[in-house]
Amino acid sequence: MTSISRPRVLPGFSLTLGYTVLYLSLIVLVPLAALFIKAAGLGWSEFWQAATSPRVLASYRLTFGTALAAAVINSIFGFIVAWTLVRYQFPGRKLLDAIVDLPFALPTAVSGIALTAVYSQNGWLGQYLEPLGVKVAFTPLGIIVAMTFIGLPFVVRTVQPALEDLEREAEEAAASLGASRWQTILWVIAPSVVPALLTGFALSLARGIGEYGSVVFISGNMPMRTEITSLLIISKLEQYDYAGAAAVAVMMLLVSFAMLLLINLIQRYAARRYQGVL
Amino acid sequence: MSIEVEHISKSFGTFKALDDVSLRINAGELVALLGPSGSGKTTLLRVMAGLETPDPHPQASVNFHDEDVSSRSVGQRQVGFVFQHYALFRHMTVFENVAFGLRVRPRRERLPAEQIKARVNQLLSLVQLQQFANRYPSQLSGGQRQRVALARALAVEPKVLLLDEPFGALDAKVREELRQWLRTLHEQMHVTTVLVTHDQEEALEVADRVVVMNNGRIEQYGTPDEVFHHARTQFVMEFLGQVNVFQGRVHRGKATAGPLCIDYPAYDGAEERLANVYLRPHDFAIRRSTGGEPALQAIIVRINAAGALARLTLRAGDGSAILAELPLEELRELDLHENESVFLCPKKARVFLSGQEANETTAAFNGKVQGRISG
Amino acid sequence: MPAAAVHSAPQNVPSARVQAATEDSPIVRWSLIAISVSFMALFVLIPLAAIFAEGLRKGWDTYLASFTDSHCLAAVRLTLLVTVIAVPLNLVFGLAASWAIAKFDFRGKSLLVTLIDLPFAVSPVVSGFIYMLVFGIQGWFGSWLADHGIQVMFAVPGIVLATIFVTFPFVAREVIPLMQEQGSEEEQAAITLGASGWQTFFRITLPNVKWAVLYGVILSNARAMGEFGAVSVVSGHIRGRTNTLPLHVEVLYNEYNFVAAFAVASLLALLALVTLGLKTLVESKLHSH
Repeated sequence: MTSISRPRVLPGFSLTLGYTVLYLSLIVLVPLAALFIKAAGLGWSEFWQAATSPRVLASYRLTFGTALAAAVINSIFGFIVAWTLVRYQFPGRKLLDAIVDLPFALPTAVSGIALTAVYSQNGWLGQYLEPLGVKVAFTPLGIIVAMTFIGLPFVVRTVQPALEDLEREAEEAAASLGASRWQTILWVIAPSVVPALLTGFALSLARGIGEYGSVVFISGNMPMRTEITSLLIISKLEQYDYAGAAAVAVMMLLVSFAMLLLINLIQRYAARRYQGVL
Repeated sequence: MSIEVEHISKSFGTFKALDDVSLRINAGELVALLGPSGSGKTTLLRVMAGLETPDPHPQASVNFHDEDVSSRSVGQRQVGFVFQHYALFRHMTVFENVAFGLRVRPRRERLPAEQIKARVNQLLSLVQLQQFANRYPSQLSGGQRQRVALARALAVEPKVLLLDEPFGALDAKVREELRQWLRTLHEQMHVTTVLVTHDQEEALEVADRVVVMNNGRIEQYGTPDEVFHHARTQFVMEFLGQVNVFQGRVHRGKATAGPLCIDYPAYDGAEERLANVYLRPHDFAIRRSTGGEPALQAIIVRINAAGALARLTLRAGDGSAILAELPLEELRELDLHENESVFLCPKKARVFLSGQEANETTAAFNGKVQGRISG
Repeated sequence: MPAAAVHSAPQNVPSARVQAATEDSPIVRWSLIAISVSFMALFVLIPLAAIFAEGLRKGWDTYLASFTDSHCLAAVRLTLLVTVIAVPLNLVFGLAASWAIAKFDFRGKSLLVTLIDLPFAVSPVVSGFIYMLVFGIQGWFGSWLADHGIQVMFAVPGIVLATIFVTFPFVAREVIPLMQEQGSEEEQAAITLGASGWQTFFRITLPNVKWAVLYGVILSNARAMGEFGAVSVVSGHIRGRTNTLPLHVEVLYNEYNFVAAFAVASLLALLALVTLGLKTLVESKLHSH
């Protein structure tokens, strides 16, 4: 970064930067600071107690476990969807491509009731799963379904550009050197896409951990069994336990920040290693 | 190993990239496919490699060493292909890139790890990159990347080496070095090599033979000397080197273009026909007076004396620009200056009848008497 | 791409086609397409269809009646109001931030860029909660606001704030990279030709990034109208007063008024489809430049 003292050709630096920092502080930083200050007001032992009570721990396990499962599902199927969209021409491809973003555009509450309608006992698909002994709605499985829905665009939309960037020439080079198609996929294509896939996985995981709207309708919200952490915060708020809620919220935030950091690290690593080779 | 392609056509939609091309490349030669972009040279190379399937035709075939390889996939053809943009595997080190072709062989054909290592190191020293074995492609310069690509292609001991604009993305100085280096390498290895390029200097300098292509067809196939000095078509004449074109007419064994008059024995009909008269910049003698010869009067617009030859830009009476070259000593002797009027006397010219491409005819001027022919 | 050599050819046409080096066999290709389509159907298309089908279960009259309900109309009004305030504020912020970040170098720039993205990493529920800690009754300014008769929490200002928070990064993160990529040569040229700062911005910079701006606006608009979690925490769920459309859907659903819930939901789904359409359109504009 260059020094601040260099004369600037374009005007408006102090105005725009000042406004940016002020607005950012008022809307984002100060309220977030309020959360940490509130949690800090508890003192360490009380904080730890509030953030790790059995009901809270159960919610962590559930939230993280289901988000992880959903992120794994999305990584596998999201990759296939991205591959299909990038590599093949087939009728309806454009439509499929556009519809990938629907979970992102659809209000989460709408997604929540729609998924419940489809996967509840007498729902569109639920009625066929019920006799097979598969209960989706009001079980952890339902939470996984909702989180898969909500996380799908993140995987597809990060993997897709990576696949598009793949040079056909690299694959042709591998083939001309005698590699079979599988060897090419395994050793040439996959490694180039792994950073993008990891990023998509992490984004999907982060989204799942924080998700609320699409999950609450399908989860059933039974404490200790199907109560996700976001919902737990809300029920603490309804009991006016602001400090307890703040403790749990801080834990969630820390996890989110860790995920954000992880994603940045993956991207920085990928950029450093792969940039500039064309 | 010789390469022979017969009756190869290739269309992309309505665009005909190759139009019934046949070509034989002798074993051990280095041949350049030269042409403007869109001329089909890269497509022809990719057809040889098996990266493109030619349009179906009863007699279409690609033969390596007189054996039809049309039905073999690119992996089975044992070609070394070097891509214009290198196509290095960016997540692999230089060593891993070069070793790739050896490591993907079926287990029973695969060399033991130490032998692979030895072979890769040998190749890396051949391309002078031993010290970069553990670098990633992103840490190399363009010229180094291209050498890695070449080493990678050579690792599988290809029977033919196919290079698609290998130096196209490099800057001029590096190009020149790599060009020399490629020629030396070729002389050591004697692998049949086909090189695609749009740079005539590169083609003429490095290749044993040059295939000049245009619009999906082969215009001329010959040694650099043949294609440069004995262009068979107007396209080749115009594409290779700089040339001045004059529109003229021929009849009764003579071609005329403005004040110029050239013997043209190939056509002695009484009916006048349109023709193009070509003169290379060094085909002019520059005089201060005509001395009775047929000559073109022109004004010197610019003199560029940087180089072994002085390059003159002139303007003829009708406003057309003419390029001429002459040795520096001659320039000094004549004491030429910009804005001076001089006479251009053709020493040699090529005449092509309009609409007729192939007739090789060289008309030449000799001495003061117009119309004498000399070889 | 299918083979060129499919149509019947004379006997000795050399071989059937060689499979191109970068192509998968038809079996692989069609199985993967089938997997993709089924996955998308199970998780996206069927739920989408369910919204409309459930809304129309009792016929068009009942469907349409759901919208004429006064609470629903109030929710529509509130949703529009919140969007009309939040989106322009974030638009102005996004443009200012992009200008500062893309056109100038300064210490802490990458930190600033990370902080702008922060709201995306915060769970919606937490996003609402943090405003309660500032403006709620127990919050920092709670008693001061109460003394002056200003209600922020469980009222429209709180909803607006929460919405601004969740849509905060959209415009900025679309515009910053594009502006950075375009550099500032054109702006410098304009300045040397005597243009003022504002002229340069409106005549040179803005036209160059207009599609990215529009893209960000479309995304933040969709999110502003559809936000549920954050708004749910700060709204207080007062029917006819602090319920936005998504909250209205929740209320109807929890009252087992499924038809009305899905009818209102279908309105939001339509909005999402329109958003997708516009987004695709703007994307093609963005890529063609």
